[in-house]
Amino acid sequence: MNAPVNQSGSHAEDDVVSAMYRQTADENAPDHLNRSILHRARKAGARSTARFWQIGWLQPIALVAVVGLSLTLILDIDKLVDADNPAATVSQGRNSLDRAAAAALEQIREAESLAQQSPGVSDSTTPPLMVEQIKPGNITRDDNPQCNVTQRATTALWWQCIQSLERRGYAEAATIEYEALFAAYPVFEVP
Amino acid sequence: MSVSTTVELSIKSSLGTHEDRAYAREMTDNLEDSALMLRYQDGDIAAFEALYRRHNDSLYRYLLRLSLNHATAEDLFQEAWGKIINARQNYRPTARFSTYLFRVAHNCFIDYIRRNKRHTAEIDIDPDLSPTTDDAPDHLTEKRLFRERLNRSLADLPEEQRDVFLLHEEAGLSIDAIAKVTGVNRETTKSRLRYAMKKLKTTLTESNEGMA
Repeated sequence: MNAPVNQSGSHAEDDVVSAMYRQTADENAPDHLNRSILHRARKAGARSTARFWQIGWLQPIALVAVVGLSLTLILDIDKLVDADNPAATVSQGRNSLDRAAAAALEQIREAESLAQQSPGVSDSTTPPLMVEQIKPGNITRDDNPQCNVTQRATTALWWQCIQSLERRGYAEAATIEYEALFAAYPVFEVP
Repeated sequence: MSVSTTVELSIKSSLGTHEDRAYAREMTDNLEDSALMLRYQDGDIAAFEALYRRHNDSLYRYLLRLSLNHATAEDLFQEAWGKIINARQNYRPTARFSTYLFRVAHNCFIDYIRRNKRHTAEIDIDPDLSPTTDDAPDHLTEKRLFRERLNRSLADLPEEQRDVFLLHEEAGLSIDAIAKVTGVNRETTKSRLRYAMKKLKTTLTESNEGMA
């Protein structure tokens, strides 16, 4: 006849033997072994920690990381400066446009002088050159004039941009920007 | 009624929840042991100390009763923990830490047997019976006698059966885990454990009746 089986599937007599064993077998590891092994573990752990910092490739990687972080910081600072002083950005853009206009004017003048030196070319074929109109400051800068993100950053800058558009004759664009300004800042009061 | 019989009866009454407790402990230990070992990989010595304190006694008893020799058990104990320490960077928590630990110890013992082909199971276990506050002198003597009987019964078992029994009792490993540690299939492991239990039951009961 088989021994009774308990809920966990093992035989009851197995459990009795296990229990008798556990009740009796209660020796502990000797202290000198405990000390020896823990000492060995400490030594090995300390060695591996020290070795980690002595790895040769760690220093170049650290250097690269420092340089990378520094560059990122510098670029971020530049962006912050630009954002704080949008007039500088606008002025830079204006200067480059003026330079382009001056170059174009120079080319037109050269073309006019060439046309005068060439008798075969009729004056009527030469397009009317409105030199005065493309002088720096009067040049048409944009087909789709609107305020940029920097100009829309604050209400004051945005308002300046709108006024600038109006002064330059972009009434429709100024109206669109004006409505957008009021949509974004409903409590904005016109200065 | 002898003291051992009293012990046996008190043990029988508490058997109902033993498996449940062991399972719950197993689940907790699994996670915590692995976490401790991973922390030791990162150089946390305290984590290793905690891990060592949990398993040192059971591993020592396993090796002591497997080799049946005090000096051999000490050597194997140091060798096994040394391997765990040296191979800490390769440890991966794919199984219970105790399975890993006892597999290392089992392999150390197998290597020892191969190195010492004349190894005989000569019992040289010096029982450490330092009396505790609740150990009455007659109880201590009874316990000592019972332990000697247990050691003799274990020594009479074939090495493979003794190994499986000790892995079951000391490491708390399941049949599948023991099969992994010993490198044999599940059915063989189950059969070895069954034979070991049966023989121990017979010898311990006979000697118990003889004493009574």
